[in-house]
Amino acid sequence: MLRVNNLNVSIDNKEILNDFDLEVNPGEIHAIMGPNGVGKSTLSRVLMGDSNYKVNNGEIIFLGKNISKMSVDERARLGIFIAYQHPQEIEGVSNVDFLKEALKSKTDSPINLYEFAKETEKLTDKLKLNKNMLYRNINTGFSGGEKKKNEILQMRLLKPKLIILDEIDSGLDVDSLKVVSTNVLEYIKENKDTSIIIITHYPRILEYIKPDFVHILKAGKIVKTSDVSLAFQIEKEGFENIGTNDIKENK
Amino acid sequence: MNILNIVDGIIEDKTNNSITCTNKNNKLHINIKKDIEFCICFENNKLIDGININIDENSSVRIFLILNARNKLNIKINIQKNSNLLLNKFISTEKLEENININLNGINSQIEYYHSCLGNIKEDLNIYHNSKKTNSLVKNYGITNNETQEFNITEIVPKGMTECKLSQKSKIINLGINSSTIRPILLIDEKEVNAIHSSVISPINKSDVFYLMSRGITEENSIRLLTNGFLINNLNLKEKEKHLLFEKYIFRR
Repeated sequence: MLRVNNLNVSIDNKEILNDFDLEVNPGEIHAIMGPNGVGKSTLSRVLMGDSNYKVNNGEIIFLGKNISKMSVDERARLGIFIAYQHPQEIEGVSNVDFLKEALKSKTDSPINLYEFAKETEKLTDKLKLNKNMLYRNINTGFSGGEKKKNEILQMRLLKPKLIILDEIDSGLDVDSLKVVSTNVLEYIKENKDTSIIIITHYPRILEYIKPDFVHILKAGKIVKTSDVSLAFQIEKEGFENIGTNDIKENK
Repeated sequence: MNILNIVDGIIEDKTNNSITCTNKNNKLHINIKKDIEFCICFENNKLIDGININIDENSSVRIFLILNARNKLNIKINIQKNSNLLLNKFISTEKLEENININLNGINSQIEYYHSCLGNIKEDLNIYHNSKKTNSLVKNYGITNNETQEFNITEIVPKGMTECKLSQKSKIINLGINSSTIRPILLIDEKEVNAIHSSVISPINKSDVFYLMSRGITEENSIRLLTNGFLINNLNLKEKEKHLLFEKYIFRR
C-alpha cells in the first residue's frame, strides 16, 4: 500500500525527517508515537504533499506509484486521507457544498443528490452529530469534538484507501473518542484493504483501534518497532528510555 | 422581494405604494415611507449615473443592489430618525468609480452596509452621523486578480453627537499582482462614541486551499469555492438571492 524510502524532509533549513523508512501493507494498522516535535505531524503533511515542507531526498510509493511529485489533490483522489489534529476553519464555505465538491472531484461526475442526502444523514447519526452542522461553514464555531467527528464524516464519505489519523484523540472526551473509534473500525470492516496510520502521544485510542505495529519516532526516524505492548510500556516509562541503544537495535 | 428593473433609464415597475421612484436628469430618486425590502439590478445601464434614496422616519428597509458594467456612480442616502437601512450591495464589473454619501439624520437612525465586489473598483464611502445615537456597520469585501481596488471609508461624528456606534471591517483578497488600498478614516470629535475598525489586504489563505485540496478538490476549484464563499457570505443573502448572484454574475467571471 505505502512504502516510504529514505525520506529526508526539512522546513526553513531545519531537518525534521531523517532517512525515514516505513512500509504499510494493505489492511495493516500502524501507530506512530513519539514526544513533541519529533516529526510525527510533519510525516502526515509530507505524505499529503504539503509544499511548506522540502523533500530533500527519498521517495513515497503509494499503490505502486511514486507520488513524490504529485499535487495534494491528486494524492487525495488516489486515496490518501488525513484526519487533521487541527481541522481548518473556513468561513463562507458550507460543509455541504464542500462535501459535494469533494465527492464530485473524486468521482469526476455529478453526484446523485438523493444518495448524498441519505448517506450524510446516516453518517451524521452514526457520528452523533447535529445535522445542522452540514449547513454551517466548515468547522467554524464547531467544538473540538465536532471538528474531529466532521473529519471522520469526510473520511467515510470519500472512502480513502490510506487513512492517517493525526492526533485525532487530542481534545476528545471519552464518549467522543469511542464514537470516532467505532466509526473508524466500522469503516475498515466494510473496506478490508484500508490501511491506517495512527499518530498519537497516548495509548488510549489504541485500546479501541488496535494496531499491528507501534513505531517510536525520535529525531526524525523510527527508533523502535514492536506490537501494541510498546505503547503501554511508554505510558508507564515515558519516551526518554527509548534511546540510542534502541536506534542501534532497530538498525 | 420586489424587483425594480432599470432598463435604459426607465423604471419598469413602480407599483408598490410604500415607495415612489422617478428618473430625473439621469438620477434615480427613491422615496421610502414605510417598511419594505426590494432589489435593484443595474445591468449594462448607461443612462443612470446616480441614485438618491430617502427613507422617512420609523421605517425598516432592506435593499439588495446589484451593479454590473458601469463607469461612474453616485449614491446618496438619507435616513431619518428611528429608521434603519440594510444595504446588500454586489458589484461585478470591469471598472467602476463609486461615490456614496450616507446621512444618518435622526436619532436612532442606522445603516448596515454589506458590500462585496469583483473587479477594478474605487469606492469612496462617506457616512455622516448627524444626530445622537446613530449606528453604522460597514463590511466591505473585495476580490481582485490583476485589477486594483481602493476603498476609502470615512465616517464623521461632530461634537455633541453622543452615543454613536461605528464599526468598519474591510478585506481585500489579492489573487494576482496589484496594489490595492483600504483607507479607514474616522473623524470623531466626540468622546462618548464607540468605534472599531479593521482592514486587511492579503492573498488567499494557503492553509484553506491545502485543506480543500487534501479532500481531492483541484486548486482551481478550491479557490473558486473560497472566493465565492468570501463574497457571498458577507452579504447574508437569502438562498434565492444567492442563486441569482451565482448564476448571473459570479460564474461569468
